[in-house]
Amino acid sequence: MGHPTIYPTGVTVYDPEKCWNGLTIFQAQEVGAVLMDMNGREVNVWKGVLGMPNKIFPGGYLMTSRGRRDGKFSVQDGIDVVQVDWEGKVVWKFDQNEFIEDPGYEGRWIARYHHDFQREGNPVGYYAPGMEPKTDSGNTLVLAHRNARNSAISDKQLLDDLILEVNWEGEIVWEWNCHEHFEEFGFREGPKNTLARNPNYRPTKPEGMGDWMHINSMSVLGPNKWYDAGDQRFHPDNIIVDGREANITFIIDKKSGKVVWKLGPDYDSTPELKAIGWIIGQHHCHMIPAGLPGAGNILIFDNGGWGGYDVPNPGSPTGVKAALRDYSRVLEIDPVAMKIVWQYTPSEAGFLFPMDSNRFYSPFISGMQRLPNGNTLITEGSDGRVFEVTPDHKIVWEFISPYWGKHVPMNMTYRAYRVPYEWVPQVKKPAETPIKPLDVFSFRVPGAAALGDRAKEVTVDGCVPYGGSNALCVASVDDDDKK
Amino acid sequence: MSELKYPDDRRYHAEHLWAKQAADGSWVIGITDFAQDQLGEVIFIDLPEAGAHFKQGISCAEIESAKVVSPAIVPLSGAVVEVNAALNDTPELVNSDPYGQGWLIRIKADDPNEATITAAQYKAQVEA
Amino acid sequence: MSITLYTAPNCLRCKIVKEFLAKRGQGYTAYDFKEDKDIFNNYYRANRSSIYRNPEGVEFPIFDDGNVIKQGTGEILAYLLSGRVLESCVTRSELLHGWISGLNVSACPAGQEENFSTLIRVLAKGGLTVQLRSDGRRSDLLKTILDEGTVSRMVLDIVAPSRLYPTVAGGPIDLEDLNRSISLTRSHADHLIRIVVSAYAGEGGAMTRITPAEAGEAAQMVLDACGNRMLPVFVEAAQNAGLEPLEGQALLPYRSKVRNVLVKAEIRKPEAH
Repeated sequence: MGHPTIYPTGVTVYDPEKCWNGLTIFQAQEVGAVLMDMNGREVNVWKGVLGMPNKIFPGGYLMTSRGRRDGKFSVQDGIDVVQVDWEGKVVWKFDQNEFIEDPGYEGRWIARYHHDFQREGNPVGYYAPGMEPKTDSGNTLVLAHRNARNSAISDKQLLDDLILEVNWEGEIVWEWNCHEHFEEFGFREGPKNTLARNPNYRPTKPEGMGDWMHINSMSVLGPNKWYDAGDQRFHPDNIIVDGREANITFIIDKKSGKVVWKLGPDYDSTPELKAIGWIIGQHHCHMIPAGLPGAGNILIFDNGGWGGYDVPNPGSPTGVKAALRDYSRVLEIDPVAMKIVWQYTPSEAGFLFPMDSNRFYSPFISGMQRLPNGNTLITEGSDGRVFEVTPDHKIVWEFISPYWGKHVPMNMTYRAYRVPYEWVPQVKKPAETPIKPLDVFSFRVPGAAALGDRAKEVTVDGCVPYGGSNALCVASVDDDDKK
Repeated sequence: MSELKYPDDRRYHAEHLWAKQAADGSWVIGITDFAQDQLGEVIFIDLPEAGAHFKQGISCAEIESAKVVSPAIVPLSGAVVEVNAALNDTPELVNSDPYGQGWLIRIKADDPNEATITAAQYKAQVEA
Repeated sequence: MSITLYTAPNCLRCKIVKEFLAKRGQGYTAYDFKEDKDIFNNYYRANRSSIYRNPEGVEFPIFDDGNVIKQGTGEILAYLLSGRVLESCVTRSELLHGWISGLNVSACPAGQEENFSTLIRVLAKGGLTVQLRSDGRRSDLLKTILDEGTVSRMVLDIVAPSRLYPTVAGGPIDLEDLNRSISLTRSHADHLIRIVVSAYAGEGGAMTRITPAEAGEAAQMVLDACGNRMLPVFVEAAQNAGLEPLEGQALLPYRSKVRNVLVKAEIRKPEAH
């Protein structure tokens, strides 16, 4: 199902009574970081930054990055991670991961950061009661890159994921290298063979590299009920990440560096995993922080699309990006029972399954944030759609990014966050004006005929009444035995 | 190489020591044929003092060959009542007669029912 | 005084000592620890506290002239060449399997240059693979030795910032001397430059370590000497029995301070050895 050519952008739905009202920060494609109110008024725009993601910290600070290394030589290497104030002044910076001398560029320090960072004080980088990220001290976890070679994985150069803990002076004090834990991920032999031949190879210069795991989120567990009950796997300092290319989400023990909990890379080995179903190309897997509804559960944006290494099959002749699905799911999973406890999928969105499922679909980027009133702010990233749903799946706020890029002609938005008003003292609490959903049946653009503008109608004898259909060319939910 | 032997008239510990009860009820402890073979010619043994107490799984002595220094892990918890003084001058007895004259120490066991393994189990382990 | 050697079968290190003694016409008695095991075992038990073991067992040959017991080919030859004078620059080799180390050109006492060079030559000609070490001092002697082509691997260790060199290394360091040592080291096909987190007896005699800031100062000294901030260096800790081991993540603060100056600084992973 494609998108219509003409549709409104900006805020399209807003019910102030049902929303957790605040400011929303997102990356406007090829513009910068935009902080806007519930009606879409932009209260501050930090131009030129490239936050992947942007995060707002108490005091009106923006955590972001100032750009990316030339793609000829790298894949998604952010040059730095910076904390800038309300006026755009850099108050904290990290870039000393690697000193890089790319052809045609002056040698410089580059963070090689990508996809995520977390500041001490808050585990996930969004509002949770009593857990404010520090803004004038504290360590920062940075997800970064480092090239590696590991013949157990592949004979190709690897673009390995690296987690760095950096102190306030910008100095690395702790490191975790993904490739060193290859054996702990539990890949089967078929996927290993595919991975060895093609570790998601990217033709960079002077030598290509395999972005083999592609971790795209990294956060701390923080205090949680599982650890309080004695489960050491969920130590508050432990780090949860997910690897998009391998369809795997896992928790790293901070002390030993070992993988102590994982979901994937396969979803057919236990009844629990079968019930969850294949999670494909997922993003932004994190534990809901203490103090928020659902605390201790793990939120996953299960993109679908294409992901994972497996044996060759009709959907993937080489076995790379082997699992396929044309819709997305937001899953809230109990990590001990390994059960889905809440979800937002095309079914909850009201789309007929599976014919219309791809109307909730972002095959890349995306994420979600649990809000204090139990709502969930979902970023359906590929089409620039950010929306807030209630626990019973009603959309109470929706925004479509009006920012299409020139270099990347999409209005994609990586990951949006809702920020409490108190975190931005520079902004007077804005007006909260309700926006009723347009009646799309009657809404017309100028020049179009009005609904029901009908010159004539006739009746044909012998027609039987309309009914449901179990024959929309594909199997439908109506075929389900249970119904 | 002649075949290594594991007599089944005594008890064994996975860390290559044996224990055999003496007539007075105390337990004689030594290293296995496999262990002496691995060590090579023993040139010195650092034995404990009588009266010292060791828990099962703890080292009671250091056995040195020109190649390696190896701890001797006691198979039963207990207090040392006697050490094999002959080993001071002729440590090679451990090689030539590991189950007889090459014994290391004699102990009074805290609990003779402490878990150990049989000759057959030990043999299966080292030949795996 | 009569010399006794205790040797192992097919031991290259033993052969080098025997040939050296023979060439100088010095008589000796040799016992093989296997063939003459009764003699060796008795000797071992009587002198056990003076005999050291490397990770693979007793270090052979053992040399005993009734006066001192020496082990390790380098140390025995140094003793034969000049008594105890070379002890500062010829120490225990931590390398096995045909390699020999523990040879520090920078600590060679004045007047001993010829003996030190001879020592390196004898070890290399005898069939051992020589790793030579410098702490940046004595580039003159380093050049003489490297020119002979007998060194297989060259290690340059920056052991302290300039102001601590007399305490840690035993003598002051001169920037030009250091610069020449860096150039000579880099011109060797197999070389390694390390910023060493040294352990040393500090004020009051207690063992202490170079701090991350001091490692940064040492890196600055290297930069001042050679002017090349891209110089590939490795940060490595010298372990000391009296101090907590310094390894893994604990080395990162040192790397950070060194990288502020020498941007390519890395921590050497064990498998890279």
